[in-house]
Amino acid sequence: VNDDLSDKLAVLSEQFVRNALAKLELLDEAIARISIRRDDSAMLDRAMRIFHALGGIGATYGFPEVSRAGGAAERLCDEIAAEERAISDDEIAALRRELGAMRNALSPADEMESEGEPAARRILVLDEDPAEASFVRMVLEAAGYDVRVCEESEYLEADYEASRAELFLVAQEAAHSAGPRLTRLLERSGREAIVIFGESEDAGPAMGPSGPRLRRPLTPAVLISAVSARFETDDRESPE
Amino acid sequence: MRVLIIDDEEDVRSVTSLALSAVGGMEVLEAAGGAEGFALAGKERPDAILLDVMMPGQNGIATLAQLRESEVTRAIPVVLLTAKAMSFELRRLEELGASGVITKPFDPMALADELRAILEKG
Repeated sequence: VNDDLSDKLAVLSEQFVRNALAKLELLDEAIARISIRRDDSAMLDRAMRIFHALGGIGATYGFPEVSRAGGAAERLCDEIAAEERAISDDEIAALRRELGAMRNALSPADEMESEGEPAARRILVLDEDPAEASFVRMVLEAAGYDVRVCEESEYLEADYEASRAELFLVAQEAAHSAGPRLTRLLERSGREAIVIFGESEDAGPAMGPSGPRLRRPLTPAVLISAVSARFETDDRESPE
Repeated sequence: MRVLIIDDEEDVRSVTSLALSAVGGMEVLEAAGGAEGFALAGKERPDAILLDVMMPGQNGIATLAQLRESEVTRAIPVVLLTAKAMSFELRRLEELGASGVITKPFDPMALADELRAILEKG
């Protein structure tokens, strides 16, 4: 193999890793959604196609574990689809295991790519107003945070699992829609929520989850300050 | 030799293209879907087509059928690329008019030889 070919393969391999990691995020989301709607055949098909794509090419780029895990997960999805049945807890766990195996196989290259930069802090924004959610996302992403938006409280748990969020930003109206599910999720995850109120809304403690409160209209400075203060507090309270 | 690669995955097309051109010395054309591939095959009339089976929209089987029905593309050998390697499936694909099947994941250093061997056999 000449050097030129090796160089070209190396460039393609880096591109593959980036694309594969993006696909893993999509898989994460698909599996989280399947775990809520167990008979969601369209989402199962989506997961199967992504597993198929990764399984079919991983080893070609030097990642045989990606091919093994992708193939195993694809076969499992295929089997469930052929039997036209809902997915079980064990099967969801199996898909997550294979997803984890692929992530582990790709992660050394991912770490090299990031050259030691710390990972961005992860935030889940629960807001049913697309314009407000978009504003919050834009501000926080520009500040270097990894932001995921959940616009339908029905998908709250799925979006949390997909985002692995360390902090919730919750619009008061959305907190009402999610109701006790949000409270349970916060308790289970040990995460905190910053609640965002409308200009005329009651900011009393009974109206939503506990945690810091912000009032609209928000400015970028106020939003970033509240979020960074929350993370700094977390870091002080739980040092590595 | 000019080979048309039809595959919806960019990562597959790029490494396949490199393997066939840099290792195998072939000229490569690319299409990202069945309909686009069929149109390009009719226009460019490559010496062979490497066709992915599982694609969104018009999949590889439907594209193969279309290629076989058209007088312009009927004689072009088609080799299928698939991750599904069950023997009964391979036989079925060949019965549909494929010259052969290459299973994914493939070795990029051996792909050109594998393709040539299938074409020489057919």
